[in-house]
Amino acid sequence: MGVLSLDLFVAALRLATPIAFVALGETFSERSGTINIGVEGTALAGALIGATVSFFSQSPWLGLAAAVGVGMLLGLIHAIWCVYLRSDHVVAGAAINLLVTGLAYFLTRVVWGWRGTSASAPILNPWLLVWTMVALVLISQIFLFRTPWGLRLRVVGEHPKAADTAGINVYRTRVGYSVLNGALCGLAGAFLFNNLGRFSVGMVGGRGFIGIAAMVVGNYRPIPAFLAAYLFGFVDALQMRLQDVIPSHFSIMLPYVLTIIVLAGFLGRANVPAALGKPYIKEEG
Amino acid sequence: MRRALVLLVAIVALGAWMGFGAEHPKIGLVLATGGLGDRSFNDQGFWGAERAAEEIAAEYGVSVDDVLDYVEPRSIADYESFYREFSRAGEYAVIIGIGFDHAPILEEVAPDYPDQKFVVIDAVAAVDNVASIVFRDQETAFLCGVVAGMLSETRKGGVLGGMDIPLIRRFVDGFTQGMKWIDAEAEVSVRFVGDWGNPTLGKELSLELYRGNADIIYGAAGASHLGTFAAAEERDGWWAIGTDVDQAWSAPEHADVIIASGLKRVDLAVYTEVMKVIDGTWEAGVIEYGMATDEGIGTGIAFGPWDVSDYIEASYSTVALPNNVVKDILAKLNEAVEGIRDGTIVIETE
Repeated sequence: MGVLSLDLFVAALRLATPIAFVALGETFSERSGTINIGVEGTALAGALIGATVSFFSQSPWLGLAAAVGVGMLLGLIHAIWCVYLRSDHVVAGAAINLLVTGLAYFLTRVVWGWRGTSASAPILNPWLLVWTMVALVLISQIFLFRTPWGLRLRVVGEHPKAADTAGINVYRTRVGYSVLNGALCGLAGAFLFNNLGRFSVGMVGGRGFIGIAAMVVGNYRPIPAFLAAYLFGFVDALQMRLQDVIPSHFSIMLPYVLTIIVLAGFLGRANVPAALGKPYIKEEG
Repeated sequence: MRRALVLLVAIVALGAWMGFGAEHPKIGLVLATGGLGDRSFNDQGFWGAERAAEEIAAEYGVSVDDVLDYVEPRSIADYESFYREFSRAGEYAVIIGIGFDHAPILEEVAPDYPDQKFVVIDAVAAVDNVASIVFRDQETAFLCGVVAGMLSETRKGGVLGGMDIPLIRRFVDGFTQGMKWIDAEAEVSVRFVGDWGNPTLGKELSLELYRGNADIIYGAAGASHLGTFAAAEERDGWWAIGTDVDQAWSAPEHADVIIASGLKRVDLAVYTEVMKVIDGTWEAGVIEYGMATDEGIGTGIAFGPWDVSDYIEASYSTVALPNNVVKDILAKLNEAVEGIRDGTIVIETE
């Protein structure tokens, strides 16, 4: 049958792109010791602010910059909560998700008079962001495992005290990679906006959380995390093409069922950074 | 003694004044979780209630805000408390719920307030004091299928549904039969998003349908089929049909690909039910809206540049079609409307 066409692989790449951006960002963040489940909301904020700025400036490039900027801002807020104020990482992330959803309804209604959806705004070719994602995955893999900066990052997440002793600023490192995570989530949102041409509050639709799952399946490594994201995108694209054969009630579940199965297989032997989610308290001496 | 008497008179007068003030009928409206601003289902329900409230307000010399109270639930879990609040107040002539997911909650709440009149749109609540409004969506979808049948060059249409539920199956059945009524050889492919609010997935599914050779897709997936419009923009000759309101108006940036929209006149149904309460002709039970029903209104299509009848209205679509093509399609639509009304066209639904 004609299901296994080039179209399928292309659609899978599009569907995988926001997931892979988030997975990559979360890999950096968690490698340095910060859990951020606010990635779903951060991606949504990227799409929202990206669309808003592009709409008012009529410049999709400014929109892209704004999407990355708002992601960095949310990453910074999360880092301040978690690193300096030592709040619970999961609670802080959940707060970001709630905040952005509320903001999205508010802003769309105030600006466009349409609850949850923006008007159309100028866009870039979404494939630009797809290839950006692929390039960033490759660069990140090298950065993490072949450069001194990558080593420092990993030490901060594994053994912050040792890192501190070696003269690495644990707080600043964690904040920096949280901000980077935010920027990458912002790119995920920017892709979603540029792919559709407008903002809609349901457009992330859980793909941020799937990004965290892809990171776990990829065992905190960029290329495997991308492959996990691609697998999800592939099964999602496949189920769309199988709806003539399988009732949609079942086919729509397939990517999620797959995620649960693969996660169950990987969670046990996941290479979790030892200091993940634990605040570092510098000893005064 | 005299002071007490004055006070008593004042209290009685105040009570009478308040009682007089409360004499005008009030409407309680519980919207669906999507809330106002969807430029579709919820907004239409609100417009219907607002129009009724304006008439009531004019008659009693009060403001619309005095007559119409509405709430926008954030989730289904909020419905029950809103219904109970409205009901307990005891001052609403009718309480209206917009949306199919209100029915099970009304079945719980309505029996506790047997004197309160309720109306629910799009679902049946089997309670003695609830009027359940259902639309013959298949009639609307049939008209959309007629347009698709007349315009499709690939002789293949698509339907993007939000979820595989009986409501959306009526859209699919009507559309398919309408298209085949024009072109018996025509094919229809159906895809479901599994979500009413995810246009990203809606776009992917629509691209898949278009690449599978469908050149006209009927969107019945709420905000998800905004993705259909975005997909249709990617190639000349790909068209989309909107739902519930003229989406060439509600999504004007896509008026160049939205060739028509199925209409679901929730506003007319809400207005009519409120007016029945005011006239004293209101009855509980299941009430069907559509061309081939006692009400005779509620379904239709927005297509072409002219208001043709109660069922065929002008559209804001900017798709350039030759005049003779528009006239041919309008003639066929008229024929379909007459067929549905006189029973020569029977639309089969599951």
